[in-house]
Amino acid sequence: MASAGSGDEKAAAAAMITLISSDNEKFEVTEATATLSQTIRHMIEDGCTDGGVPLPNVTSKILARVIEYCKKHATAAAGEEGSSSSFSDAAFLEVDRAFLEELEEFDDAFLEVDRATLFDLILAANYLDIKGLLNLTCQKVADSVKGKTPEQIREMYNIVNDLTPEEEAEIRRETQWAFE
Amino acid sequence: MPRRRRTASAASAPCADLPPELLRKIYGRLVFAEDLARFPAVCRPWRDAVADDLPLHFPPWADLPGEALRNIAGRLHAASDCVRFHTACYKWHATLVSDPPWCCLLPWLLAPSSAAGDKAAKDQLCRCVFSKATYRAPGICVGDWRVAYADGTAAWLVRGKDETFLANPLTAERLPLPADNAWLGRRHRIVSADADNGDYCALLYDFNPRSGFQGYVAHREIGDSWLRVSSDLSGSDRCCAAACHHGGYVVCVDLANCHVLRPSPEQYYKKCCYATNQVRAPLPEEPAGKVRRCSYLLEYRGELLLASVLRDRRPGGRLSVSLHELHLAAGQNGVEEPEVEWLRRDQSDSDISLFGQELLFLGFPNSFTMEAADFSEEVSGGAAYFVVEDNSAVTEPTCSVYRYRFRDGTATLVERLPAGWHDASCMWFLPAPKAHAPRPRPHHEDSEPAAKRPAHNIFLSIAALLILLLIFCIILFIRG
Repeated sequence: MASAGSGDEKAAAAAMITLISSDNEKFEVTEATATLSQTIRHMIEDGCTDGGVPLPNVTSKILARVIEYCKKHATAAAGEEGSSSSFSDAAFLEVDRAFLEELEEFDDAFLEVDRATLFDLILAANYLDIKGLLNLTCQKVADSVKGKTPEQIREMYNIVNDLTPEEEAEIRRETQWAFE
Repeated sequence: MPRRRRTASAASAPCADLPPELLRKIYGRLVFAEDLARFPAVCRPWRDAVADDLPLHFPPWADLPGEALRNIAGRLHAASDCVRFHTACYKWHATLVSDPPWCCLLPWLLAPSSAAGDKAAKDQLCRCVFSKATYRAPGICVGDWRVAYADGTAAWLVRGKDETFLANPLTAERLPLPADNAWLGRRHRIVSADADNGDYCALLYDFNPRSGFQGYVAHREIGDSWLRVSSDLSGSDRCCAAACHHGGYVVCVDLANCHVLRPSPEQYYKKCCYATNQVRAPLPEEPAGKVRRCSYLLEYRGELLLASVLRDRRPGGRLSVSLHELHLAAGQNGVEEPEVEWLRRDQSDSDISLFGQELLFLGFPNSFTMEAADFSEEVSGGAAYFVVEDNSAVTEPTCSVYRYRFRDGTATLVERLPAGWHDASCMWFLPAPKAHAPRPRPHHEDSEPAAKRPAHNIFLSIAALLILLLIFCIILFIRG
């Protein structure tokens, strides 16, 4: 906010938001990074971010990872908006492709986490309403259950089968073809 | 130092002394719960390394928020994956059933009806070429009871004691379309139905080179009665596809011509017309060096499209697909026969963008389009899937599924179909499974697995009975 006189764009870029994790760790991020989360965007719009945004559902370990994701993808979004005027179409496409590839590589590396972290990332993405991160993490879970039986899914995710035998029998009767 | 001890320590030391970061990394890569439980039990350094992560390692996946669960389920495009995912636990089942993500399922390929007598094909009724899985749904048989819908779903004709009706083959649920015995009289049945306003158009037909095209048409305006349509298709020996267009016309295509059959108003009132008015027009010319292998008709946003599968003339030639829109221009006085025009829909830049999101499933008797956006990256848009017979084989002909990409003009083999599928006239259809909501549970039951209680109760009552019996015996013994 100190550079308010030097134009709106710079002011927006310089605006910093403080995020506070459940274990009271503080993270300073730019507004562009923070607003990838719809939840935080609404808070900023409502003007209730002074003194930091407390996120009681997110630990510092997870919040650090979420911020890492948001930073990368916020730069990507800014790059897409800014480059249209400064490049010719062909050059723009070239840059665009290289950037998308880089982003894809980042996403792949980002998902190299254990199941517990993945679970926390899904919860955080859901709570903070970050569409891209939720889609990314849910895709990882979806890929892991493809072609698996319910028993294998339960074992993989440590889920107790609390369906009664009658309930399970009924589901299987209705969708017999899926279990052969 | 004795040699043996040195080897022993050399074997054990490196693993125990691995740096904690590395141990955490290894731990992070474990997948199954039992492995995660065993890991910290190996030795103290291993346990210490992952001590911080321990309580976190069994997150309550069953309690995943509904939004995330639906997101995951919506990314499972094989119907079986989606159904199995449902069945993991009560909470997942209840969440997904209350708001199912079925809209994003990939179609199945149904064996041709000629496979009915084939032993090998009997167990291969439905094939999901994307997950390479075969299904045998109880409602589906390879007999001629199938009804194709223009939107890609399918129904089965069920003949009861007193009535004939249409049902969803996977759920046996009745469909809201009038059905009578006319449905049984013809082998190929295509319905385009608009559920929102109750409009429908049903076309039932048979074709063989001797008796030509014999069909019935019904749509909402003429109620439950059928309009007869018959034609020799100008002596054609093939009818690759037929479709109802704009309610009134029936359009048939072979490899060279298009036939527009139009029942006239007088015939409309008589409800029978043995000599249907018809217009014959040539199909769009085959591109140089290519020959048309098959023609398909499909509805796309109210328009009728012709998809032609072409093959290069030279042996082993490449496959390709071309797309044209059928345009029926009214005759000069408004009463004359319509003129047939073809508009190319796969070439100009604007049309490629139109089809960038679409997936075409070319089959028999019906073909349809779907939006690829629903399938995320798994199946990208701007492609047509079709089945081709491979007649070059010396033994039985085999069939293969190909995908043609409009963007780069390449056709790739998706899968060679199992034995028994020796006819390329297979039908694609979208499975529409449906699970019923489980009975709601009172809250106190959630803590205790309900499955165990009935058994528990039985055990208690048996024990009580035994004790009573014992007391009875003792009393008898004392008195005796």
